[in-house]
Amino acid sequence: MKLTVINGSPKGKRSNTKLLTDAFLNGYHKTFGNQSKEYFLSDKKLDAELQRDFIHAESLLIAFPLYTDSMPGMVKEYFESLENYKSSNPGIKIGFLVQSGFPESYHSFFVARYLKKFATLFDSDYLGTIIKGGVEGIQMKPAWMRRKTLKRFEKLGFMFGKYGRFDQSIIKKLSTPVKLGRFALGFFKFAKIIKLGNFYWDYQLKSNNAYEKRFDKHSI
Amino acid sequence: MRLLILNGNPDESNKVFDNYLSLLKKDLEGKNVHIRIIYLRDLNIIHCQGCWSCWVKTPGKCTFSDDTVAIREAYAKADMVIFASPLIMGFVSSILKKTMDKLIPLVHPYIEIVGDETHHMKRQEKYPLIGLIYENLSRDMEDVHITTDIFGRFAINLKSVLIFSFSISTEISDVTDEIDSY
Repeated sequence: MKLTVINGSPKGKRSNTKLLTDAFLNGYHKTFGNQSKEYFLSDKKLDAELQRDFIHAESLLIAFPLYTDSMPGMVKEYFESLENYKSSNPGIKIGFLVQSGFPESYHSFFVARYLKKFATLFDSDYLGTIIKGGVEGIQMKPAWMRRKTLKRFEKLGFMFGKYGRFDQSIIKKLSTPVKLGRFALGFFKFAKIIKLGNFYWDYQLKSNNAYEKRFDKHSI
Repeated sequence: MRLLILNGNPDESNKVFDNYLSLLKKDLEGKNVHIRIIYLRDLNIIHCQGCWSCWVKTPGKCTFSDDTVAIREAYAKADMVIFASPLIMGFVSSILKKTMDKLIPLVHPYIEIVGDETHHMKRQEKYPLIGLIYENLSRDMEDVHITTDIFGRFAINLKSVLIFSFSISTEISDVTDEIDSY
């Protein structure tokens, strides 16, 4: 089996997106003979190479972080660069991964509707969209905390490498919680009242000596 | 009222789209509306790098200086912002999308509960209302529904609401009346 991974994170090789696709690829390569290629849209202008790859690809995993409720601008650029290749590779398998920092995955379901529609433009075999929330800060989490998530991505990659499909039950687990339960909502409301703010962002603000300026208005 | 239109039409030869916005501007000038159209295709806009400097190093300020500095300035002062674009591959143009990505210095990284969801907290005192004007080249209504819904979500995170989503086949006077009603 052959798979091309398109990494659409502006952070490219340092991205949380790559952490997740790496786990997926680990699983995928457990099946002997499977091959993969990886492109980073953040790297450089790859249009011609990406178009060539698209025409010949057997399967494609397009992965990106949620940016202002949809795909990052550079991913939209990539999509537009494929406009003249709609009938170039019918039957190509296309799947997506959308990760976001919001704890609930609901935010990403809107762009997922777009992605499903996008896949139909190519007469492709749509694999599905993997949606994962709560990813911001994953690289700072201790290994044991992120292990469960990465194991699931590895399993998903393994199943894909073996059967050529996304396992829907794993996708469902990864997207949990779609919405926050009453307890989690209460926690966030309480955190705001006691000005707990947000540990993750406060840590970064403080280490940049920017904590006192955190509520500054936009300035040029 | 200050109205800002971000024209995301990437194609100079698509006069139909630009003309529609020009006619709208002309029609609104008779009202008490101060209107400005920014042609994004003429500007230097670099992609958001995802560095989060605007959140954790220089709060409220993007450390990259491109033409979005002036866009954010105009955005922060506007009472209403219209995102305008032909739908290309089923969604607004990449030049409009990369401009949207560069608006995140206007919100705060902290999370709060809005309704029953987490969203970013505000940074500014006030945020403009949001409208959408599109050209539906594919004539596929599903594209319109998906794009409108995504803009509805985008508006929540920009501490606003999506007040309308109009095709450029809408009568200019209907759009003017709608804008004028705010």
